[in-house]
Amino acid sequence: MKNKIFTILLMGVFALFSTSSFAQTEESQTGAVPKSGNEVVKKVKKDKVEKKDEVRTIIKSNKKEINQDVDKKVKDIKKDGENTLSDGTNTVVKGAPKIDEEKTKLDKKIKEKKENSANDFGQETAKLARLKEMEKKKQLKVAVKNGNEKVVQAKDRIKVAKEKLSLEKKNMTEEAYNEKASKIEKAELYIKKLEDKLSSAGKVKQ
Amino acid sequence: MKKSIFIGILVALVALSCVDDSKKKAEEQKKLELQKEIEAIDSTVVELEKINEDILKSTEELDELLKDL
Repeated sequence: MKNKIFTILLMGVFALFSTSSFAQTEESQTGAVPKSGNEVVKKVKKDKVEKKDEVRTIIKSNKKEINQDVDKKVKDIKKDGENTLSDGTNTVVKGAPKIDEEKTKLDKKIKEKKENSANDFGQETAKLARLKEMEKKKQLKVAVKNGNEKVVQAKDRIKVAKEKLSLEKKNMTEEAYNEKASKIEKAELYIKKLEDKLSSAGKVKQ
Repeated sequence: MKKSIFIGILVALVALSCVDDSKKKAEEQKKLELQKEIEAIDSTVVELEKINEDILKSTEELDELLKDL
C-alpha cells in the first residue's frame, strides 16, 4: 500500500516537472511576445540577471581551477623539492626549497637562538662584571703600589723635616716651631691613616 | 590491551613533564646563581672603586702636607 502511494507521488512529481519544462520550452521556441510593457522590462531584467549569473559561475570555476593549479604546484614543490617543474608555459627554477623542511629548520633555529640568547644574557653579563672587577683590582693594585711608595717617601721626608726642625729649634720662635711640629704630626697621622687604608686594600685585593 | 597502551602513554607523558620540569628548575637555579654572582661582583667593584678613590685622595692630601714641610 505504502509503495503504491509512494509511486503515485513520484509520478505526480515527474508529471509536474515535465509540464513546467514543456511550458518553458514552448514559450522559448515560439518566442511568445509579452503582452504588457512591464512584462518586457521583467524579461530584460531576468536576462541580465541570468547573464550575470553565468559570468559569475565562469569566474568562480576559473578561480577554482587557478587555486587548484596553485595548490598542485605547491604540493609538487613540497614533494619534489630541488627538482625542476614545468607545465608547458611556466617552469619552476631548480633549487626550489622544500617548504616544510625549510620552515621546520627555520623554526628550530629561531627557537635555539632564543634559548641561547636567554642563557647567554646572564653569562655575558657575568663575564663583563668579572672583567670590570679585574680592571678595578688592577687599578687598586697600582694605587696601592703608588701609595706604599708615597708612604716611604713621606716617612723619609718627615725624618728629614724632624732633623731640620731640631737643628733650627734654637733659631726659631716657639710659635713657628709649634706650627712646624704640628704640621709634621699631621703628616705622620695622615701617613698612618694611609698605611691602614693600604693594608685594608691589600686584604680586599686578595 | 587498549587499557595498557593508554596507561603506557599516560606514564610516558608524566615522565616527560617531570623531566621538563627538572630541566627548567636546573636552568632557573643556574640563572639565580649567575644573578647572585653578578650582584656580588658588582658590590665588590663598588667597594674597590671606593677604596681606590680613598687611597688616591689620601695620597694627594699627604702630598699637599709634605709640600708644606
